[in-house]
Amino acid sequence: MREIPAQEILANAWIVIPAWREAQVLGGVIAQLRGICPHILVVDDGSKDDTGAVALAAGATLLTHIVNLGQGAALQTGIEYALRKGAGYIFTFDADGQHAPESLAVLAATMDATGADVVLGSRWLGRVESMPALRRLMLRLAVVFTRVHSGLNLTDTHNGLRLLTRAGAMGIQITQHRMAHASEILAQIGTSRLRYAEAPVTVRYTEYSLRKGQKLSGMFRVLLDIFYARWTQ
Amino acid sequence: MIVPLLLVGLSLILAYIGSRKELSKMQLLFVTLFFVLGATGVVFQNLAMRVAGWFNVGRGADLLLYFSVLCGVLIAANFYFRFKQTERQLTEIVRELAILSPRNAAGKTTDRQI
Repeated sequence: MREIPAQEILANAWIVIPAWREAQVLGGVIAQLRGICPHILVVDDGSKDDTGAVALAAGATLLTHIVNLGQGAALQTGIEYALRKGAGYIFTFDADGQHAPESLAVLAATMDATGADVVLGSRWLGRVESMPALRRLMLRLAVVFTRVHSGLNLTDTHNGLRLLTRAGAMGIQITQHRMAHASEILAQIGTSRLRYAEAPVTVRYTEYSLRKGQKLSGMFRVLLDIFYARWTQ
Repeated sequence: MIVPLLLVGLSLILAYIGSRKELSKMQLLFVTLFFVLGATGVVFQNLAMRVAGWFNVGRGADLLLYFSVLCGVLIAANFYFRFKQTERQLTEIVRELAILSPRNAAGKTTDRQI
C-alpha cells in the first residue's frame, strides 16, 4: 500500500457537484470550494433556473444534461468526464450547501492514512447540525437497510460526500438515476471488493436543504428502484 | 353472429400487427398463439370448459378471463422493460452530449477530442 499525502490528493482531485435547480445556493458553495482543489465540475441536471449560469460565474466547469435525469445520472456523467480528463481523485459533493468544505481535507487525510479506494463521509462519526428527528429516523433506517443490502458495515449510508481514487471511480458504474444511487454505490463497493473507509464529516441542515432533500415518500421510491435493479440483474 | 365478427376482428388486428413489422418473429408468434388460443376458447366453448376443469377453474369463461389478465400483465411487463431500455439509451445520449460540450466562464471549451 503506497501512502499518498493528503495535499497531493487534494492537488490532483476533481470535485463533482450534481446540481438541479440550485441557483440560489450554488454560487456560495463553489466560492467556498475554490482553492481547495484545482477542478470544480458542476453537472447541471436539466435545471430550468440559472443553475448553469451561476456555476459558470462562480468559476466552475459546467456540463449540462439537456433533460433532467436524476442525481445518480448526473454524478456518473461528472465522474466519467473527470476520468476522461485524467483525474487522479474525485470528490462527490452536494450542491445544496449541506457539506462543509473543510471535510474534504478530512476525507483526503483518511485516504492517505488507510489507503482506501473509496472514502465515505459519515455525519454520525462527525457532526450533524440542525437535523430534524424524522430525517434522523429515516437515515438510521437507511443505514440498517443498506447494511443488509450491501453487506458493508457503515455508520452512514446516504451521504453525498465521498472521495474516490481513479481506480475506485472506475470500479463503480452508477445506473440508478435517482436517489437509489447511494445504495447502489455501496453495493458495488461490496461486490467489487474495493477498499473503503469512513471519515467524520460535518453536515449542516438548513431550511433550504431540507426543502430540497429526500422526503419520506422518496424512500419508498428508492426501495422500489433497488428491488427492480436486483430483480433485473 | 358475435363469433364470426370476433374472428374477423381478431384476424384483421393480427394482420395489421404483422404488417407493421415492428415485432420480432418470436413476439409475433406469441401474439398469434394468444389470439388463436383465445379464439378457440370462444368458438369451442365445450373445449374451454374441459380445459378449465383441468385447472380447477369453474367455467371456460373464467379461464378466458384469467388468460386475458395474464396476457395483459405480460404486455405491461414487456412495455416496462422497453421503457427502461429506452431510458438507458436516452441517458447515454444526454451524457455524451454533456461530456462533449463542457463550458467554463471563458465560453465553450474546445476539447471535443475527449
